[in-house]
Amino acid sequence: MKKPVKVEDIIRRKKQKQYDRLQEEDTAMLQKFELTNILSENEAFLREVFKGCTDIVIRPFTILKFKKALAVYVEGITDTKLLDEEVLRQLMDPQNPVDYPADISIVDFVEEQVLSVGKIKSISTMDEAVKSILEGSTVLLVDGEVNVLSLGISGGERRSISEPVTEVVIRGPREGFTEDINTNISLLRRRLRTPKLKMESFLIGEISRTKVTIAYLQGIAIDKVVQEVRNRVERIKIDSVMESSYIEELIEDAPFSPFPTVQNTERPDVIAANLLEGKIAIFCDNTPFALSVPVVFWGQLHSNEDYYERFTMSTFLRGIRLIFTVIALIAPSIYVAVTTFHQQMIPSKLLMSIIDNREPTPFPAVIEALIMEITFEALREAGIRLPKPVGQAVSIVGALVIGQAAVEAGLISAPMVIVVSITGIASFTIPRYNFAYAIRVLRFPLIFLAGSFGLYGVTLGVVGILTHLVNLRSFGIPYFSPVAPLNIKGLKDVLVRAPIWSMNVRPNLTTDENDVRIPRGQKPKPGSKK
Amino acid sequence: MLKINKKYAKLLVTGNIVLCLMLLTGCWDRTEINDLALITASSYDMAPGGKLQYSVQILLPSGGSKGGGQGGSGSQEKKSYVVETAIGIDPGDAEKNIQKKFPRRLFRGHRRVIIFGEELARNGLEIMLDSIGRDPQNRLRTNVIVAKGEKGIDLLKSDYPIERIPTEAMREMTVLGVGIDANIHDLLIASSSEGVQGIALAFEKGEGEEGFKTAGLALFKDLKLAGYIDSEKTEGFLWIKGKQKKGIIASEVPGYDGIVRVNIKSQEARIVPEMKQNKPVINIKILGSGSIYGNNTKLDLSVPDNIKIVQKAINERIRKQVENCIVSAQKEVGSDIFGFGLAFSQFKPSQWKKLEKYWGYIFPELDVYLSVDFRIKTSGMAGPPLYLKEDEIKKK
Repeated sequence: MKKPVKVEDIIRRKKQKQYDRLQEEDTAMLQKFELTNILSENEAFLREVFKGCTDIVIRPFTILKFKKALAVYVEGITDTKLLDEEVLRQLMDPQNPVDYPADISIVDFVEEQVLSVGKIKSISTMDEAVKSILEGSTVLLVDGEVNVLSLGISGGERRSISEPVTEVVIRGPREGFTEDINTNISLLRRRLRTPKLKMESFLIGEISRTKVTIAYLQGIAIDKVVQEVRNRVERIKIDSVMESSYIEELIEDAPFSPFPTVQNTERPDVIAANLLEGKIAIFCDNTPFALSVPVVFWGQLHSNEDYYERFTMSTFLRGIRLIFTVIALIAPSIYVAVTTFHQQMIPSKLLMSIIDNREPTPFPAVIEALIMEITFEALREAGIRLPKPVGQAVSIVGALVIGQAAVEAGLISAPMVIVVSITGIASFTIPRYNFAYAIRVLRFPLIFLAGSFGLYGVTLGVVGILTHLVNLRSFGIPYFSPVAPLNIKGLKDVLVRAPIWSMNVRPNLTTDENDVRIPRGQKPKPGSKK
Repeated sequence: MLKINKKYAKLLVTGNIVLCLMLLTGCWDRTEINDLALITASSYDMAPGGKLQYSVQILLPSGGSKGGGQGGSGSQEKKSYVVETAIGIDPGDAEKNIQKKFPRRLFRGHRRVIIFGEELARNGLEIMLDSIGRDPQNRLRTNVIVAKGEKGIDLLKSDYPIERIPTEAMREMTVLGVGIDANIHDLLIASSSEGVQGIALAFEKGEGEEGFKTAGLALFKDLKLAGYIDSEKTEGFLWIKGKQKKGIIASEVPGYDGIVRVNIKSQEARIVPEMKQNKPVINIKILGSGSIYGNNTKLDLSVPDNIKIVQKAINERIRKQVENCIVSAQKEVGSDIFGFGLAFSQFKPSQWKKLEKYWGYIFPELDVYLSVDFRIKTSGMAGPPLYLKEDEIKKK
């Protein structure tokens, strides 16, 4: 039976066609033009293409003292010092005696014998030439030659490597990614000096043409997962990529879930460690945040510093983090549920002091909790957005207004302030910021449930969240693994951080043949020879 | 017009229904803490015409930390509780009548003390125990107290200087002072088992105008108050039950002119029933140990022989306490609070079947053999009292 065609589908298809046509028109003009051996024609075309682009520099000069040539580059993304001293001087300097044999083309001669530039490429189409100009290369056109030279001397001002602001460690490397994808990849390469570290680059964004690179360790990452990542990245059709979050949103498994199924980090050591666990990294140009997939629930509660501190301390800290994650999620709703439905559950003396404190307050506990939580979130948001010197003032006013004045005026009860502040602190113990977002947001429906159904509602909500979590998958890996489905070996790195010498195998998401991470029997003991 | 995809429309409708369910149901049994009247203790008394007088002691909120400075001395004079009372034909009815007089919902979830007036207790507790046991709000660990010689409401109204809620003091006193935590749970178990009678704590008004003090135990017989034993005899009861696990026992040492005090470290007791020449007999074995806590005799207690002398005196004292208690329970009250019958039913079930019917007559005449073996393990940091001169100390 033939399916009836819906109106929406027709409209959607039409829009898709429109979009495709626009893209085609753009490239068609470039593709139609063929490079000629007459420099003035090429120049005229380039001037037409870059009309109104004041940052494009088109510099005519005489190459090797006898041919007219043209250097085209974008000011600011080309290393002009290099261009001036190593390229133009070589080609123009009358003191530089070069014997030009007439039997080869001038472009080939320059490429092979004159220029001491590492990344050099001969290009035969105008389309490619324009693209490489925009990527930061300098393009050399020579009169009488159809081919042009693209010199990979991109450069310009970039932020230097600095300590990441979002992931601060006490012990561990202080390098963070920058906005330059090449720098970022070099930071990764420094940590994994093996030919097995493979990379694949894509240009994504019809307009922005952003470089996106996926990286993985061959033999450790599962090929199927690599293929899946490759497919999902290739599938992306978008006009621009401003940040890696664009990529994240377009490849993640559960777009509607509050929980992130893609991890982001600013730290090269985290990416390197992830690759060694069989994960795949996705770099994106112009952002210091690299992505890594797949990711599991427990990874969100781990900090890279867990592996840099001694394992006893890390295990303790992981316990603290888990407890406070639970507190961040359910503390206000438990308080609301218990004080409005299950007063029996509170120890008598505690109840008496809660009663004393709640006596003057006008709102029901649910409303009180919502007011406080929303105010707290607003304060936090204000603290982030406001300029640094003002931010401090906001936090002082906030602390005074909520913490003291509201309690003294009898609008808000003191126990509620305590609960909300503990919740606030608890949400900061979660190392992954986007995971903490999920916890912060889910708090509100739970408060609603607590206010209308009591502990029963809270239980229902938490069971719902857990059901969702065990249902989630990140690139084929169950989100709650290795706890559900259970993998006993994997538990060494979930709640406890086992000593490094006892974590003999990689987590279960790697391929079998490369399972061993550390051979057995490396527990340090005195006098051992090995 | 707003166009909505059918798939989303379904989602929207279900979402709306869930939201309505949560917000419009009026939060069915939600009670704000501000709308609760916390009952800290309640009492049951006889009222004229065979009715029941039910009284509750309710916590008065102090108004919180609001303006901590201004409150100060003023709030201290304010009472922290209020007592309401009403009469009804049964506990539920009486409580309903109190509720009519009170703007907040009575909440029994934190009631920790229940007081029965003496008159009511003598008439039997059945109806109260049923209503207490049936209501899920009640705690089974609520202490049961009998107001000795007065009405329960009088105890409920009396102040106590230390605790904010006077009945809280009552509860603490039972644990620290008397040593037994007699509660509803135990009372229900005792009354539903055979061969053992229930007990409750007895309290009476203090000598002065305010306050109250412990007055030993109240002994029940088939859930009717049968009599009391004083605190001295209550200790005897604790020895028999093996609950005298801490505390101090003091005794004069005959012939040595002074008193020795012993800190009890451990204690247990065994009740062994026996048929002797076709007559039921109970053997009680009391074991225990402790260390010297005080000594103002002239004995040097680092000498083992002297310890033996002291030990004998202490054992005598324990024996006295226990005997007094048993005699009171047997002869004066006639209530088997020790569970002698229970021991028979557990260890001699065939004989118990014959005895059961006549236990009420047998118990007062029952022969009880007592053996006390309390040992003093250490003499503390010093042998003789430290203030004695060398020649005053009796080594042997």
